[in-house]
Amino acid sequence: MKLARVRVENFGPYYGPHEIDLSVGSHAPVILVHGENLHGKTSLLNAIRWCLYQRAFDRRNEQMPFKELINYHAVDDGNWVASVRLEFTHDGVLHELERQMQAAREPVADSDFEIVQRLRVGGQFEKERTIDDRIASILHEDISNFFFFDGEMLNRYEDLVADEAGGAAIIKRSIEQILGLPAMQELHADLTDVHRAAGRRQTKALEAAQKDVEFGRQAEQLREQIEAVEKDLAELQHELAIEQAKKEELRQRRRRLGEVEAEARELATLDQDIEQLGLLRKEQQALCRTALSDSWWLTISPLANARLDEAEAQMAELSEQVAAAHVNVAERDRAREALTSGRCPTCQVELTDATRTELERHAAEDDHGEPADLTLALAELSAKVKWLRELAALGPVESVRSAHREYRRLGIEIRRKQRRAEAIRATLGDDPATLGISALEHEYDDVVERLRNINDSIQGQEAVRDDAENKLRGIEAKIRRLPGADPKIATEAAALELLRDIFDRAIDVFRTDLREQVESEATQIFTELITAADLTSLHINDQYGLRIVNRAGREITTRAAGAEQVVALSLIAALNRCAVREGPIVMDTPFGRLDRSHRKNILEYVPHFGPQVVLLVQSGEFERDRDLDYLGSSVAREYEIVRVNDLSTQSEFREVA
Amino acid sequence: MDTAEQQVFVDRSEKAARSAIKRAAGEVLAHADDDLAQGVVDDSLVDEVFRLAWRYQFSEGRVAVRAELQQVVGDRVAEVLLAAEEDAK
Amino acid sequence: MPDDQTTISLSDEGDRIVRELVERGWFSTQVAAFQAAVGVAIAHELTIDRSDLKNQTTKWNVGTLDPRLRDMIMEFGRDAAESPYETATILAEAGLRRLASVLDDEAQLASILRLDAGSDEGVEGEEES
Repeated sequence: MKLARVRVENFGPYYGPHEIDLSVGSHAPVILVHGENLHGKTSLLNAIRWCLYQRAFDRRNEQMPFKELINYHAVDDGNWVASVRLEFTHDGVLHELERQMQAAREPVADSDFEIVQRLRVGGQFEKERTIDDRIASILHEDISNFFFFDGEMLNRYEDLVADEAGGAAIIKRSIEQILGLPAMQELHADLTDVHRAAGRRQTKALEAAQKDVEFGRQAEQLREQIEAVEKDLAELQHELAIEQAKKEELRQRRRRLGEVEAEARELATLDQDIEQLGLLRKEQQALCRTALSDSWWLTISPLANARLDEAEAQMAELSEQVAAAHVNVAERDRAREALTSGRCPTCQVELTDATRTELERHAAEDDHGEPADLTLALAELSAKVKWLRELAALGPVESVRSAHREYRRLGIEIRRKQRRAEAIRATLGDDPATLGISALEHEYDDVVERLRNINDSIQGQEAVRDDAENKLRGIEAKIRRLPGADPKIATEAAALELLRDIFDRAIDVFRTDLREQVESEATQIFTELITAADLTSLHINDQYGLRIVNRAGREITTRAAGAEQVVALSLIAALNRCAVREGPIVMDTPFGRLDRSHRKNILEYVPHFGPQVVLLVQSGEFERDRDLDYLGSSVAREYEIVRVNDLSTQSEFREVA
Repeated sequence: MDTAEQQVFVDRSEKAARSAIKRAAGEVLAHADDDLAQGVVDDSLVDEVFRLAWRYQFSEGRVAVRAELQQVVGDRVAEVLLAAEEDAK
Repeated sequence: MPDDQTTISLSDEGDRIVRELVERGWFSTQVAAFQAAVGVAIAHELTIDRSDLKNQTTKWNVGTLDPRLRDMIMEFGRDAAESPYETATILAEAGLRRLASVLDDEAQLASILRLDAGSDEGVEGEEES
């Protein structure tokens, strides 16, 4: 399977229709999608899962009810409809799968929804009832976890790797399931059933012939005993599965309790920070307040400046006028004096007629105005210029400007922390840590004890069954060799026994092969990813315990920093590679707990994980400037999931150029 | 991925299964004491049974598979017995 | 000016706004807010119709105000010569309403009050809030 396009409508934070192109080429198999927490990365992964299997999971790996998958805005509109459309190729043929959920009114349970599914293969519609089987044959849900996984699953596998007894069983099941063992096991069960039917036919034949009936009866008794034991074993296996699931759940709760405590601590720190920042902000505002109250004319400063320029120009002009007026008065007085004396005041020569006329003109002039009036006007203007200068000089002092900027910056930081605090409150809200750690530990120990007992019972019953089987085999062989035995029935029974033995043995051989195959693949991947040079391989022993082996061939049992996470990733990648089906890998925030050096190795290796890898990352675990280089030219396309508004209820895909 | 690549991929896991079955068959048949049965359970029957299993990787409802198994083995047994009868004549 | 006011009155709305400005911590006193509002109106050429001013309450004696306010009105206000304090009241009411409209937008408030004068940079991270 290779994904081409996903189209979501009203699913999760995606209001209305949104599409993302996930197609890749062989030289660029990676699609990179960035998104902050709660923006919609996990919803994208869930959309794919839901379209394929009609199931979506929350961060605690619990199945989400359908109504929680519908976008809030759509619900506000009264629209209880959501759909996902997945286009992918399989065996070179385009498949278009669409799943839609619809409720006429506010739904309470999943059953209130009508589900419509459509599948087109190579342009032809498939019958609706065959769709789920078709999908199962392309990529069965049981193995889908090794294709679509998130950091939580890596954490779970990390625990499995560390925990020997419990982990081994799950690792064993994973390996067998993904590599095709179930097919063989189912066949073995079928052969057993058919062989038993043949044996019964033999018994009936004996009864009909009324000969050697005793053998037949013994055989029948043994068969009944075996069937009874098998029924017991089935019940014990069922109990075993329940207890193992309980153990897994307790382990998760123990881990979650740790996480919850961490989040509660973070919340307390955030609340403290918010209070502190609030006080600082008030201080900054106080600085601004003083400035605004004392210098209330701040806003007028620019006007004052303009006015000042005008006034200063006027003042310059007026000064000139005053000077000119003074000169004029002096000249006028001199002219009058000359006219009175009849002689030039400088050289005392008698005035001529022309000179007299000129002097009379001067004596009459008063164009420039009276100096006294002008001087008064100048004085008034000068005063105005003085206070305008005072005004214009006042702009907000740098310290007030920076106080206001700081005030705004603090406001933004406070809002950021408030949002984070809200997010934490939302997750803590429905996860009450009702059990303390020690109570959990007790429960865990009880479960481990019960598991031990069940395993003992299983072993006991298996021994009884094997014993009976051997006895039955002996009798059946005798029956076959009886003179007068129906050759067809006898031969069929014998042939089926042989076939059953062959496939019984084949299962053991296959198991070992699978284990070796996975071990070899996982080791190859592990050595590419691990930074510690002395850790050279992974070993999966008979009990399916997973160990790191160092250069000296010694198994490492102590935790090496970061190594467990790398082992978990190597195992999952190896299982994916060896799987009976091929599919896209969609990894949701897988890097959260990895250190930088391992992250680099993994990113460099990502393009080799498979023919299509979709990486969903958040900024905390992926620094675009640095980490993009590690992916090289393998990225076909890059997207960002962005919020349309400030709420977590509306997102969209944006391609990064 | 084109069809040729896809084919290689699927064959790899099938190949592993077949290899395991071949080895198992070798071991088991070496110790079998029923000649007729040995005659019935040859490579081709084992192969046919395996193909049946591999086709039904994950399906529920084994009733159809069992019926087919019974048919396949029954037919084969009939063939072998008939051949044996012919030889005896 | 025999016809000018000797007291300053504010409308309901104007009164509410000066109180809020002090409550929100932007001004130490209501008078300071009043005076700044005059400045805002002059700087942004705002005015308001007398008929929009409802329910006047007497707030202060004109002596309470900064004497430079009168000079300011005379210099910058339009038609202020006859009654500068009446003009001041009208300007203040207009300025107060403008301040009220941007009270929740810190960037705009800063701009109107010229607290960010001379600086073109925004505040880090402001776009996301």
